[in-house]
Amino acid sequence: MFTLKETFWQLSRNRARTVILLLATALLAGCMAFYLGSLRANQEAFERLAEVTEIEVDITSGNGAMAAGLNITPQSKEKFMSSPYLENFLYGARAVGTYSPEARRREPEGEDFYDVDFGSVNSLEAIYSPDYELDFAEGYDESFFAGDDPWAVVLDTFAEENGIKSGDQLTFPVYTHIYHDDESISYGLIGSLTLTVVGLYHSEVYPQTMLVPVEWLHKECEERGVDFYYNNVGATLKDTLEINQFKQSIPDIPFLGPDPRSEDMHSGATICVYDEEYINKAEVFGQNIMMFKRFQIPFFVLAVGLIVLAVFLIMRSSRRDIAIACSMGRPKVLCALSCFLAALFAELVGCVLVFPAMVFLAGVSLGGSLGICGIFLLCACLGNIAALALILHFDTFTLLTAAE
Amino acid sequence: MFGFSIKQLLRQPGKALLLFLLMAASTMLVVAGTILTIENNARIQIVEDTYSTVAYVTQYPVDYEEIPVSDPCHGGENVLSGAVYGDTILPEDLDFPGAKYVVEPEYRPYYISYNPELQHTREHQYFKRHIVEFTPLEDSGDGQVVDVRITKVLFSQVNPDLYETTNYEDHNMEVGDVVPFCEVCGYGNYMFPLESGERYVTTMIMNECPEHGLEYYPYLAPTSQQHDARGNDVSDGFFFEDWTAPDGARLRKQDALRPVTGEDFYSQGQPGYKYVMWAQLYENEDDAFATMPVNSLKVLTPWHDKLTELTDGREITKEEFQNGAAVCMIPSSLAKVNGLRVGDVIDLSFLCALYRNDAAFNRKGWIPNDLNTLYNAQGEPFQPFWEQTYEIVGIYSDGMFDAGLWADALLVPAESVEASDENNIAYFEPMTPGAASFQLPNGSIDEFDQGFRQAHPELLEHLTITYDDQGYTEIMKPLRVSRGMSQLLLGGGVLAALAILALLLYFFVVKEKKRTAVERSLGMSKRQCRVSLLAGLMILTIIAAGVGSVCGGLILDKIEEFTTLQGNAQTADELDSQYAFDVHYSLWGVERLAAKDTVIEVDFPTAVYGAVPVGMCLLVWGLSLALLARSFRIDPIYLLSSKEKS
Repeated sequence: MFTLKETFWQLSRNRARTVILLLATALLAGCMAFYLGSLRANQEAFERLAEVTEIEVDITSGNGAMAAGLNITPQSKEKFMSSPYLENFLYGARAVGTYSPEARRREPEGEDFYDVDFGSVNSLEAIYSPDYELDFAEGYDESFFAGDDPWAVVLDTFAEENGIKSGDQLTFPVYTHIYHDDESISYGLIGSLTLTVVGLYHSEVYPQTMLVPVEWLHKECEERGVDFYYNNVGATLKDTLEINQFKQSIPDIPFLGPDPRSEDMHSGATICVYDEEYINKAEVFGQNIMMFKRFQIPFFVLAVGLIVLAVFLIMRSSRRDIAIACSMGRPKVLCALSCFLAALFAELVGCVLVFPAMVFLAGVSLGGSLGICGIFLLCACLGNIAALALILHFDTFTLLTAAE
Repeated sequence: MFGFSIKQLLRQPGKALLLFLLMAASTMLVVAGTILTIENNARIQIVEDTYSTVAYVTQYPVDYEEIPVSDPCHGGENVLSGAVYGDTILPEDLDFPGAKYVVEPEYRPYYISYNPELQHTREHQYFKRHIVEFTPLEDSGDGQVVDVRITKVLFSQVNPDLYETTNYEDHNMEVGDVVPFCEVCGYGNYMFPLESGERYVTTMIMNECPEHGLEYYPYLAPTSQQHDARGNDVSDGFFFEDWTAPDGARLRKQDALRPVTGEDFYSQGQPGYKYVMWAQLYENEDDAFATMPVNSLKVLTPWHDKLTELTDGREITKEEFQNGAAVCMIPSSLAKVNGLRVGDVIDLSFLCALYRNDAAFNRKGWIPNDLNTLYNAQGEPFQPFWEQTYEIVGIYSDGMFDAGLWADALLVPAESVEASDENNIAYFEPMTPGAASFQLPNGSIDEFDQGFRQAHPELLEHLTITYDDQGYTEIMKPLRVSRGMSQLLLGGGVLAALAILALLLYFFVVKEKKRTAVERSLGMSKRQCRVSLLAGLMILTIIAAGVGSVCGGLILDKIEEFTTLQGNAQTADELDSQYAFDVHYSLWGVERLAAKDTVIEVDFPTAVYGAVPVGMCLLVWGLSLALLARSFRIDPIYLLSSKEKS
């Protein structure tokens, strides 16, 4: 009890010293809050960036420039889809058809022989047509694109020109679309296929005559022994933070990385990850975090050192008082304890003073601020002990007899 | 005295050891920090000096004009297409307030001069043209293939050795030769009916027709392609005056055939004289050389991409470019063939300017070619607009034909051509990367691009600027970080060294005042007192600084090892951090990976190993002497009678 009383006497008897210690503590705690707060803010920003950024991955041409117009084999597409790091797969194939009798009479070559341009996809998201409006027949919706039913949605203008309405069954020759390295395109007849019209759609931008499930086309080709290629295959990364793991897994799939000098335009053996924006931003946060972490220990050592210095300089003048107390028979440990508690109390008050600034100015959460205060007080305890060990390192008799 | 001094030092072993270690540590930091700072600054300077940022300009067509032509030999119809560019964009149109350049935007022409004293390095690469008069052996009213007999040869040269560009059956024509001729394959707008016994003149070349096999067909009519300084075609004059077919149709360049009328058909002032002029142009082809006026070598793709190098002499200097000195650089093959050396002079007389840099037109035999004719709109040969004698100062290797420069091209400072070429532009097409470029300060691509987009949004649709900084941005990122860290290390080391120095002097000089007073009172001279106090201290300092310097070297080795490991690490797994990203499989990452592979060697500043410890020792020595001098000024008796403060 006496020790506690003595502690408060120490604080109140030398108010200026107490105020200096308190302000020094507040300053140090503020610095530590700023340091740890910055580290935490960068970490939160790093994680938040990963949450809000979606990274797309496409199979592309060898130089990475084209993500469509490829001859991707079903095996390649399956390997791509087998990656556990990917989701939201979007893929499609190109096919054309000759619906009108005039078109059927033409040779299947060149750009103009067909009159039906299929958009065969596994989801409407795979179609670049930002303005489309769909009108499905009752009982149908866009989920049919994920299946392999012989159903089609027909462009309204084409339907009007040809008298097509929902529920009609259309049978006409359909051709696959194969790209060649000399930039020519050849067409392979799949056969005369039958489709049921389950809706109409309207689009002004890049309208395709019919939208069908890509797996229906794949199934028809497979049954007829016709080579089938996907035109485009893409996906998004499930977890942006796992981008490195995903890239490390690519050689196992296996795909190549883009090479600007590559002349392979259509084989679809290359994967391109569109992560420039994410990596450029994330690297800034990452470098900050690494820097803060790298200097964390030196910073804490510096903080403890400064506490030692502050306590040593402030408490140094108490040495004669302690020497007198010791000469009167009081143990040095008890004297030190009261000094320790006095310093710790001042440091605690310093933390309390700086606490609102941490929460409201620095934006550190309540729990985070308490944590920072706890860490600071721990450092302060170590600093106090070290400082007192230096202060109490004296011979009582020598000190009392020494001239000023 | 030395032994005594050391003995005194060892009386405080803890303090001496602590200061020894601290002194060694701080020397180590200063040595490592200094060397790293010097190395990083040198690396950054090398990158600044050797890397350049060049922007290449391309103007794209606004449309393509398609002219359907009848072509029964190729399946009925064919299409001649030509780009339509709209308003010509000139280099000065790219400028905007605040734009910073090292070399301002320029569109470099080729100036053509006749130099009969020089020999080209390639012979007759594309000589397969004929300007002949013939008479059909039978009628061909629809222009279909017919055998014709050559009755007059104005020009005919074929190099039989160049099979890759010349058909085997093609040959130098002689009067009396009978060859197959197909007017239909010439893409003309009008088929002159060919009548047996009549004579016709034409330029023609051999080609393989899918219908008739090898045959000759009309090539291009004599023409001018003069343009004005804004790139407008002003050639509609002399050559075009009789370009109307008998049925009123407008003839095209492809309508190369004309019926020969009258005995003076080839006389001056008659229609046939244009073919004589055209033949003269081809005859002079061997003597035509191209010279490119430039403001800096760095804006040329071969130099920027380091595809060429100096084989003799020197490059044109910055001052010579600025002052327009009469100096030139020539390709090594041209120098070899003509026995030209550095110091020789060449007389250049520039007839006209060709504003085009199509790589397909870089071979000898195409200057002049059918578009780059050296006749003006009035049908007169271009007269020299600038004449100058140029001294050869450098010879460059010319294995660069795919990089955009024409073969046998000379380079001269643009400022050396003091006359304007505006009335002598033989051809002009919009800017292309090989001829239109400018240099920006390194690291300013984003700033320039943003400024350009804001200042000229109207140009963005049909103009592209491609920037190439050779990976400068990616290389500088780690170098700047590294320099920051090394400066931090150096700063910390210097501060630590100063603090330790102060402690050393305090404990071993300032606090030893009384000892000095005792020694002086015992009759020792000031010199002896200095030796007594400083000998041990200096030995301690020298050994500590030496050990620190060696440790600095070891630390540098470790840092080097770590940096190499980090540099070689390319995947995130190797980088071993969740905050490092693998840039494989990213198209944008290719440049970064290339930058990682770039090693910039700098000379190791070994002198620092000696300079830093010597500097520290001198500092200790000097300050100790100063402090001792101060204590010598105080009377020993006063020092001896004073008491230590608690």
